[in-house]
Amino acid sequence: MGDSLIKGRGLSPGNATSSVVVCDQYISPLGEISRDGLITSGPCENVNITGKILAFKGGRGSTVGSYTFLELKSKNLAPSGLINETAEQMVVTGAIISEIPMVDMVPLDIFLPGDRISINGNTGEVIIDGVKEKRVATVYLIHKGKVLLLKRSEKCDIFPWTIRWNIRLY
Amino acid sequence: MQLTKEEENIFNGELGEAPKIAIRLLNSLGELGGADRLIPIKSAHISGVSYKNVGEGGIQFLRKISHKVSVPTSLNPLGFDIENGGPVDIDANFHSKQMEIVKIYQEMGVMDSFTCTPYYYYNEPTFGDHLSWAESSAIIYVNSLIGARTNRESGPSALASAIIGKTPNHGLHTDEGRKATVIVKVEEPLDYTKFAALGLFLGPKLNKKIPLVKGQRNAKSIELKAFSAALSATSSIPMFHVEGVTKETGLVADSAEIMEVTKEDISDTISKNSTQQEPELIAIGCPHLSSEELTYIAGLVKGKKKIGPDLFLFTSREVKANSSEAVRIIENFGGKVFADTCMVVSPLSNNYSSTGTNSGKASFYLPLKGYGNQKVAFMGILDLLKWVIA
Repeated sequence: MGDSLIKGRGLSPGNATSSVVVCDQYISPLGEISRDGLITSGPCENVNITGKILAFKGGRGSTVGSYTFLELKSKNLAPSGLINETAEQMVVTGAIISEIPMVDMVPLDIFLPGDRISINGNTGEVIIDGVKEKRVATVYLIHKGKVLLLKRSEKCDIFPWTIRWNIRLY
Repeated sequence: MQLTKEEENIFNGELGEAPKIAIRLLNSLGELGGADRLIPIKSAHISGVSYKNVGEGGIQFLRKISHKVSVPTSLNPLGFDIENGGPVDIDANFHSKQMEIVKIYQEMGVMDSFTCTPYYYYNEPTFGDHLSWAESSAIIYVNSLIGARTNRESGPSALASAIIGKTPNHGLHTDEGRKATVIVKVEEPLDYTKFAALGLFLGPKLNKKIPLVKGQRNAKSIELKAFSAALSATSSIPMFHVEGVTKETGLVADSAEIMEVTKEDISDTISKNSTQQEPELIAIGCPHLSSEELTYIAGLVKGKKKIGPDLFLFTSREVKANSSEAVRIIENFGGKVFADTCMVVSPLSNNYSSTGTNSGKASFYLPLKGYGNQKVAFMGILDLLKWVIA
């Protein structure tokens, strides 16, 4: 047992540790992220991303969006790290030229608002501070208030993390 | 991704700092996309010109990467019309920063095209050409309507490719990457604005899936330009197919799902994105107008008396120069035709707080706080012109 470690894909090198802002939306960095570091539409409207690790589904819209990250960086208003479910190249380009660490292939629903996390943009590793991982069940089914837990044999290898069901213990 | 000996030398900085930054960016993006190698390109098109979009951080980056381009390279619009001024008041700082950006690109040997529709004049790809283009609306247009091949490049990555003359071979450069993964049936006959609305409706639903649109065999290229711009503003979709119209409709994935779009989906999208109040400005030309469109609009206003809001049209210098009769008619009516710029990349809110447009793309960007800051009336051109024709 240790801090839970998720293996994504490293896209822009470097390390970042901060609280995570989770935006369950695709974002056009042109227009949907303002020049003072606020998200301007969707579920995260008016949320400030400065110094935070911004986790969102992926980029969309203008191919100029890469420059938004450079502009925020030059004004010290940039997010300290980026996470996407599946990245496209406009956001990745923005991360690389702005030297903001970035990781993708990480499902957003493993984070809770305010989680303090660390990302490694070289290896793709994501660590959620203080969340211990204990792999006890491979599947749970909930039906009419009853819970069925299926535990796999200790002899088996651990289950890949990509299963979306996460049991979190505090 | 495998680099050749020559490319490795560039990677290690033997040709200097700018090519090194450029090829390293291409290498990283090639790895991301699963490319095997870099392939030569016929042309590049660069976005990231308006100071409103590029900012101070962008200028610093452009200075760092400044280097002669090695293939024909066209350029997106900027924040104002260089020769004639407008469409809105510009402060001295914006003006000087904007001209600094233009100068950096000119020194790199990039064309003074200043348009998001370079395929009309400056930079005309043909079927099967490999390109490295930025500008979301132009990428999707040349992939879909011309059958040229470009990934959805960012401003910086298209610039990197322009310098190196190559792009990573993956995605839209391969047949596999061009396959439709969703079939969209649309029964209602669509005009320009309804095609734009279809783009706004589908973008957030499809996200990155390439659609094959069925039921629109009579679609005109101008209407599909409107669809291109709206679809790509609200998604990261690089291409679409239209049954009976585009050239690669045979490329369909076996697993393609099917969806239907109703008349109500289109009308709801229009009303959701529009206020009905009379705007201060009618802005048409996102993407930039073709000669054919300018002539059509001239026909609608010829000899009429102008009232109400300002009427601004946006196109490129060359299209404007080649449509002098239409431009004269529109200006006699009291409208203005601007080159080099548009309602999205100019700081429109310096002078206006509400805009009417037939563009789905503009009606996505203009309302955003801190960016366009406009109340938007999104409707067809005939409805828009009712506000300005006595």
